[in-house]
Amino acid sequence: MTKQENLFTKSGGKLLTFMIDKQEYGIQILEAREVVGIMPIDEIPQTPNFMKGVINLRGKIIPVIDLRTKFKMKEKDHSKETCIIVVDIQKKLTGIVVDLLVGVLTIEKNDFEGDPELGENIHIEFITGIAKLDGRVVIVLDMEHILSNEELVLIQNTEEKNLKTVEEPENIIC
Amino acid sequence: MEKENYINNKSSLDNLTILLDELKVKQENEDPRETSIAGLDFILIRLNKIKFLFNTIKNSHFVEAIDLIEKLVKEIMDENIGFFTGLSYFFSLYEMFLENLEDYTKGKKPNSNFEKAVLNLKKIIKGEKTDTQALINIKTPLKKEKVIQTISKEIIETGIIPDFINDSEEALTTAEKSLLNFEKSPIEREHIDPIFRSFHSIKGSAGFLKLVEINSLSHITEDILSLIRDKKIPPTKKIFNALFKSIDILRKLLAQVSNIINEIKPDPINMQEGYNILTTCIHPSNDSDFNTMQEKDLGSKTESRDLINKTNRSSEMVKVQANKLDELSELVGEMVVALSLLSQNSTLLKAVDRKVNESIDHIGKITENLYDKILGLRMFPVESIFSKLYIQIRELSQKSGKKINLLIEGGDTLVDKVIIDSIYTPLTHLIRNAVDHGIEEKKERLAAGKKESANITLSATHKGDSIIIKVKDDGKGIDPDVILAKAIDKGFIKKKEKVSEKEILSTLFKAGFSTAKSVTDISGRGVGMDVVKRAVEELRGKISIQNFPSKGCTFSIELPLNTSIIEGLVVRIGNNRFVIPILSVIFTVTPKKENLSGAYGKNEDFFILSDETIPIIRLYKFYSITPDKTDPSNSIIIVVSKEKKKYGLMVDELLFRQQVVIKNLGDRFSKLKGITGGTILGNGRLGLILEPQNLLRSIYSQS
Repeated sequence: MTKQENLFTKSGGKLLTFMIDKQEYGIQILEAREVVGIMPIDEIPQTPNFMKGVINLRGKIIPVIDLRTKFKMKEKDHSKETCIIVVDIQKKLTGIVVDLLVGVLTIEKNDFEGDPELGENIHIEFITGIAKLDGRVVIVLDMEHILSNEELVLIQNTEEKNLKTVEEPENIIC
Repeated sequence: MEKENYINNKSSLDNLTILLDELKVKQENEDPRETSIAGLDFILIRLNKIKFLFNTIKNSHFVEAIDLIEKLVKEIMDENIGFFTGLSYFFSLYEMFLENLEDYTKGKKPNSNFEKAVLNLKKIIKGEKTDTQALINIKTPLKKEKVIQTISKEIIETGIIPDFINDSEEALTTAEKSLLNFEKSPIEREHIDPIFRSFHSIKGSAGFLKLVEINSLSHITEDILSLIRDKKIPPTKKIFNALFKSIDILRKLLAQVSNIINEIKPDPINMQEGYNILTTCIHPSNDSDFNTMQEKDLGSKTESRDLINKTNRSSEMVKVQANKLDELSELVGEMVVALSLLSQNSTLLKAVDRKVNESIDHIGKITENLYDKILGLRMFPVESIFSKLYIQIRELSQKSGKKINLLIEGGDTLVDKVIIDSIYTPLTHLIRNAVDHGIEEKKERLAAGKKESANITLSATHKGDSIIIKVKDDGKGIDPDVILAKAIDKGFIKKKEKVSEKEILSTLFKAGFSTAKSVTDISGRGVGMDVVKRAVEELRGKISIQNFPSKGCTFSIELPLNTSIIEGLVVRIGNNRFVIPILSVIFTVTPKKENLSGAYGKNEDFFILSDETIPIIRLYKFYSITPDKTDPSNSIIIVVSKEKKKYGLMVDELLFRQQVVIKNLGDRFSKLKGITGGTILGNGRLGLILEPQNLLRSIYSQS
């Protein structure tokens, strides 16, 4: 799998890791652009619930998703440790909200296991593999896959539902 | 042993290193685009010296390579190959040469890629017989119906192809301009040379890159031009058609090449007809064709002189990538907005003294000036689209058999690049409609006392902050009765309704409308006018019709010059902020409870104001936002209009009026209904730009 190869070739085995609830996750350093502290997120109507809205990053409008919602976990209030990691996938920037930023972790090939067997908690297609190092277990996420589903910005049924409630006054003679 | 000689000959080695370093510096520092002919001289002299050095060391292999590279540079200087294409090729070969030189000094042999490249270059420079000459002599036509070109992997890897595409497209544009001029006045034979040189250069470059189809097609065209230049064949109508056709096919081939290198599946091109026409032109034509050339059935009287002047004008130009200009204008736009917020900040104004105020003013003036100049960078004369349309008209005239004159007014009016890119298609539709519906057949025109040749006038003028583009024809105008009948037929208007002429004409812009009796490929599919209106609205413009039955018809498109900053009304619904362009707002009002009304027992669907019924659109419902207010008599209604009908958009609060810079939200948000962009408001928060026309269209889902 080229994703796994990339991890060791282009990212040099380096992961940016963070916590969501009590689990540590990581993404390839290659995909991480920058990290910012939590800032006001402006909602955008007609978007799925994992799409929290957009932030203003030095004049650039960047959409932000909440991984907890995406992974169907319970939502949590933001604390002062909450951060937004700006991820760069094919020049498209997206922010992901995480509970706590841990740091950069370098792993070797034998620390990493691709295609692991996991419980029902997380969708398997979002995971590149699992890294185990010094007692830590880091779930390595496939951001490209997570974000590609996000392309469906609008839920079709929301539109249809709304159209029915608006009356059409075409018959009124002006 | 060769190696020993090399290492022993120390002074030669030192000289070689110096020369190679000089060339390397040149290669690394210079963008091929900035290399001039003088730069080529520099390269040539050093290559010669290097060759001499290698000769003394008796390394024949590298000598041959350098010799060939030298010949390549000479080809560039002789314009036998496109400038950037050639340079690109040179630099890529040179890199390979340097790589191999290092390997060689380490005792290794030059690698096979280099050998292949050298062999290839040898073949091309020695001018080995290409397939084209064989093609011209064959009597049976070759199969060219489903052409998909092949490009070798090595060539793609050299990265030269994008430069080649750029070069060739420029050459084709030059050729086309000169060809138009030549056609208008075949007496002026000086136009032949630029056309010839364009095809010659494309032929050469394509040959180097082994792009067989492009090479052979431009070769044939070059031959035709050569025959014209040597007066062996006269420039007849048939030949002009063939030449325009060649340009057309070459453009398609270039587009296909671009698709191939971008890994997009290419569509096959049908070159058969064009190929046949071109090959038959090689043989001297009959004298009868020469006579038909004398008839001037297409003439653009006003602007031909201007076109010639423009092609001859040589001014210092630089090539800048369009997206860099876009980024620049966005930044400056932000600066203008930030500055205006600063200068309107009342707390600040009270706190500072007069001198500071003056400085702020000064910065403001400079910024505005800067903004104007940057916008100016993106402005081009409309003439460029107008002359493209000329070609369309020529084709339409031929296809329909109607004689048409194109008149251009205000071709040098400057217009933003965005407008130029987007207005071409709508104008094409309007012209096609004029030819198909407006302009009468010869008999009818003569019977009506008009000249046989119809006039279509394209004009562009500035009016305040906008530009007005008009398409005027002197045909028979629009017959409101015909339109009315069709509108009733399609259900756009009810039979007994009383409608004004304006309303009848506005149905023309509805999707699915068409009065052509048959669907030709010119028009009749019923998609034209709707597309035009949308394109105009997307540019935040307006389109209107002035109809003079039996005399003609004029379509006027009014577009704002400024595409990135708009004056907006910022409103709030719940937690969301929206920006509505001021130009779309007619007025804002809070209706009185007694004026609210509704159907079927409800009473909050619309309100009455000055005898008008205005429907209330609950934006919070449409966007699923929790609002502060659900009672219209307690909220603010922003009244906008669409096609003469008024609509009221319900919002919680009017915040303020602000100039905003439109930011594209990106294609992930492209499906948002009614929202055409975003902006950062003064407080750093996002404002969604709401375009009422777009919104209303979505709500009433008129497809």
